[in-house]
Amino acid sequence: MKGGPGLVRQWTLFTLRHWRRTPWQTLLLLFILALGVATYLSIRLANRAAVESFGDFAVAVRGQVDGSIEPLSGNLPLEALREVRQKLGPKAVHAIPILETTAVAQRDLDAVEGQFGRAPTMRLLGLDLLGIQNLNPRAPDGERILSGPGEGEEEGVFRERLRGAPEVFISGALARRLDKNPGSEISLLIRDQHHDLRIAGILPEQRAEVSAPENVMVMDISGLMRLLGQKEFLSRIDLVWQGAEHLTLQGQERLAGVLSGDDLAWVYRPPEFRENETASMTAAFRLNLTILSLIALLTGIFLISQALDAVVVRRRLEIGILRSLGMTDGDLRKMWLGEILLLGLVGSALGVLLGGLLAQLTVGAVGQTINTLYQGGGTYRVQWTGADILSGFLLGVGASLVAGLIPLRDALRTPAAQVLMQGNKAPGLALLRRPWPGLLMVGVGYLLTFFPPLVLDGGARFPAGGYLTAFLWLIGGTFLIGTLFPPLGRWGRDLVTRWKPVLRPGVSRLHRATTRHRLAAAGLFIAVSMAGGMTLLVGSFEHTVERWLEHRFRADLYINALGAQGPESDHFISSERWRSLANRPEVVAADPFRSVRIQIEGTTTFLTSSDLTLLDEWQTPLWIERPRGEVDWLKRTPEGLVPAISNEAFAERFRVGVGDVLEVPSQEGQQSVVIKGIQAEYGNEQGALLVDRRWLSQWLGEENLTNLTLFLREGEDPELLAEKWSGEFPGLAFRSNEALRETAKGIFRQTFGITHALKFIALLVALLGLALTLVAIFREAVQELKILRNLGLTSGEIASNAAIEGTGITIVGLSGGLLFSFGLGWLLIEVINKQSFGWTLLWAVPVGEIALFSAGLLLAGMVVSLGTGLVLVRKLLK
Amino acid sequence: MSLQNQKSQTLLDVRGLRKIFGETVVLRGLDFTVAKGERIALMGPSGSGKSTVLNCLGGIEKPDQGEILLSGNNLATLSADELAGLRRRTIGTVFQFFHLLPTLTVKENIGFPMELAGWSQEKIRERVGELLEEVQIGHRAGAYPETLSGGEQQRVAVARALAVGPPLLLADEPTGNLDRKTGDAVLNLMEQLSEKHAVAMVMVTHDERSTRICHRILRLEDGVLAGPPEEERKEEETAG
Repeated sequence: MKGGPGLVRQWTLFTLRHWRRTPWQTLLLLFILALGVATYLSIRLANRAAVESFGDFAVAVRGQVDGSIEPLSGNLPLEALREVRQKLGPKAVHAIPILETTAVAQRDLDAVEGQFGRAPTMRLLGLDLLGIQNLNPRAPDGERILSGPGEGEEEGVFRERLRGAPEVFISGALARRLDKNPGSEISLLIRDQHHDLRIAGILPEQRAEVSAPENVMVMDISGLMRLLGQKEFLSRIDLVWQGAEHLTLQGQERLAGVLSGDDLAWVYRPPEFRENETASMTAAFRLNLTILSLIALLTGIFLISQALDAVVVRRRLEIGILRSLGMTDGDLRKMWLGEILLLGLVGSALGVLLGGLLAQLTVGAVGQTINTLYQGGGTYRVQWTGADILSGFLLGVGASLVAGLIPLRDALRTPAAQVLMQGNKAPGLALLRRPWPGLLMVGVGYLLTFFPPLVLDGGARFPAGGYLTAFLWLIGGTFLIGTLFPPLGRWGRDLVTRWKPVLRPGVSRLHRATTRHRLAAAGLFIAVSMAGGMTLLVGSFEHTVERWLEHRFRADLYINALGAQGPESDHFISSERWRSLANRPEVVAADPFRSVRIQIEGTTTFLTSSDLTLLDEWQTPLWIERPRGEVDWLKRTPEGLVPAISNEAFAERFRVGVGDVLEVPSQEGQQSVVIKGIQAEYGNEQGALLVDRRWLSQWLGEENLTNLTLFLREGEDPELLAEKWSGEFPGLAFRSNEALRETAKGIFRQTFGITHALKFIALLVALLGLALTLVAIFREAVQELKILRNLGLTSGEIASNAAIEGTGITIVGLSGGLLFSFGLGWLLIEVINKQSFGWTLLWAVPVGEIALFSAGLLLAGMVVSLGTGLVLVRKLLK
Repeated sequence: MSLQNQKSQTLLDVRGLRKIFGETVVLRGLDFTVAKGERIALMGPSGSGKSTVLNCLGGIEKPDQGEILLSGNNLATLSADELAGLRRRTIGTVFQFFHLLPTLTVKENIGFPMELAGWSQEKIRERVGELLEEVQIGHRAGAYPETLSGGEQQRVAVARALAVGPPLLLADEPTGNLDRKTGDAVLNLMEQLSEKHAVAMVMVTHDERSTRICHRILRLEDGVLAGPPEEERKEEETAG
């Protein structure tokens, strides 16, 4: 049927005017939606900023390269440069040797008082500056990579300068932050030593359309080699095609073909490899955050649904009148969808704005966590794209539409005004009153836990089945928790009859809970389930890590290079220094630990070494599977295999177990190792193989360490020795056992900081939704409230009835949520965590935290209910 | 056109109307007709089925048996959308509790049925102006319903009911929520407009005095129409 007002006219005539009449409710509704969209968007933006920072970094520093040669394990021997050039022959591809390390500005370290993971890590690149100045085939005329003293100098003079004392080029941003100029000195911690370097110049702000990141410094490669005392190794070799355009994909494939071969200690990587690897390495972490960020929206959908249903209730008579005036189902549907569309659009717009603000807060937290857990070197900037805004709007409008389905059904079932007068009520969703769909979803969800994880590019695993289970359990639970209302109502009725009969009406309404009661409880239920499940996961994780720390870290002193700020840090302790410490008379045992990145099955993992003769007597791993019998870690097995210990993440990731044999790349070619045992380790999720340090030293050709663990003679004071040795070795950080545990716990808390924030947002959304629900419920019950007044109840007593109803909803949502949170906790610990990270976690129930959180929520629910009740009673009964 | 002339043109023909709710038979086979421009009062005690008759005439309730022919359309054969269309064009309704749309001003309330019918804005403005004048509420054209008195609200409701010029007006206790003086004024208005626009009216009422504007009275008792003498009397009075 044609006719009726258009969308804009309808918004003007009805929607906006209704919003104006109930401004607080409308704002609350929009805020709930906006908060859901904003939480999702802020995490999306922060995640991308963290990953893109690596892309920016690579492009800005190296310029547009056409690929790299990277070692399969550890460092790249210098002879690789000759091998690569030989293989390339007369091809128009330049091979540029790069030596890269990390550095920390002393001033930054002072500012964070030496705390691990807090000071920004900088990338120090050693490049052939002379060669690179002449090699810039695609740069516009006159563009030079470097500026400063080298600029405009004669080649001979520049060459002389490079042979002199090492100088460094820093970014303009860093120069501004540290208030430095060309010619002044910068104090840096590189590996385990202090260096005061002269600033030769400032890197260009913009290159290859990418801003130079603040944390990049450049030196001449020969200067850096001298500085590090490392003349035999490179970090990688960059390849630059001399043509005017970049190498095509086919060109890259041809190059890969030319540069392939057996027995090579290196491999060709296409230009985007590192960025893609970073993206895939952090994919599971980012995905987990994204899913968590959607909880607020999922909670919001229930509450928005409930709130829209309240709108239908409030306008039931209006809908009835419109029907009497001849509006068809189609007209009403169009009208309702138009209103939801406007709600979605306005809520999303607010969400996008709020998301921008929240992203500024979360980007630092996400970036810092990724920095600490995965890879340092990024600077984090929030950058919007049209796709972000579009996704925010799609999510917001989509959530509104999903939320609007039940209310739409109610609206369409509203009879004409004539019939409405006979006093019938909104039917609500009868399905929510039946437990069987919930039981079905819980059952199907359980079966999905057996679904294996999806393997993403780069080896990260995504527990799709586990997440689907969580979704089904949450939705299923919303059907089941309604069954708690009747017993609660009965129990409450008995209680108030004896205690305060004036509250009987409120309790009796709980006994006969409507769809609105159930939807509001469902919103709370979802927020509590997820928050409770996460609390159990984090609590179990914390407990497990503490147990692991107790087992694993029994030494008295832990030493690492002062500049080490993350796993990717290149801050080694040189062999002379650690040997000097290990041989002190105060030391009874020393465990030198080394970690190097290796490539297995095309993905990055770690090969680590330690003094395995200290096992059991000094070091006690938390075994998942103990080695069978005696193992001589220093000798090859009769089959010629090197004995190794796999950590759980490695075993899970590469599907290996005790007795399995693996080929591990090393600078001495492929090494065959056999897994003798599996230990729990919560240091990284990329997995690590542990061999005795003598093997790795031999394979690497050097004895630098990642860290050193010292067991002291009885009676020695670790704190005193730490202080004494710090003065002697200013580039090293000495931590006592206790300090190290505190550091580990600090990292742990930082990692889960965002999780706590997301939990809080979900609960806030749920409480706001409770207020909206109560408004709806009381509006619908206005006649009953009037009767209560006529029966002689005071406004306070009527409000108390309202508070009882709200408290009842909170109790149902809370108790159902707590019950389900144990199921979700099991799912997160045994399925999702196990599939994502491969870690065995010990169950721990943080009783105090859960009790505090439950009491807080209950109290908040009561306050919200009473407050809403008082306001409404005053308004509705005036 | 005189009523006698109009009587020859039947607008509404109700035959054997029967309605059952659960096990309760509310209407037990009603037969009556309403001519164009004719005003009928439907009276009876509570629970006699008056409102159900009105709902059936408006296409809100479906009869279980019998036929309702409105302008030749058999309501039983129409779909929900067709019935809605019929209500837009053919039936105006006045309620006891006025039922004005709360977010719309007086003139918007009156103009809304015309918007539904797809009239142009210019035509709507013109017609709203006429109706505002006819119901003497022009001075409150921009006001919202909540600021109007009961009598004013009902006058707006009458104007809205007659907005698209329907041939039939259904009124459910139109003075039931008004004081006597205001009620009389509203009745006079309804009579006057019904005469002027030749609109037939079926009015459910408890109030004998309200029947003074009607040509006939139908009395409903236990779901059946009581004897015709009073109907005749009223008709004769009106004719005379």
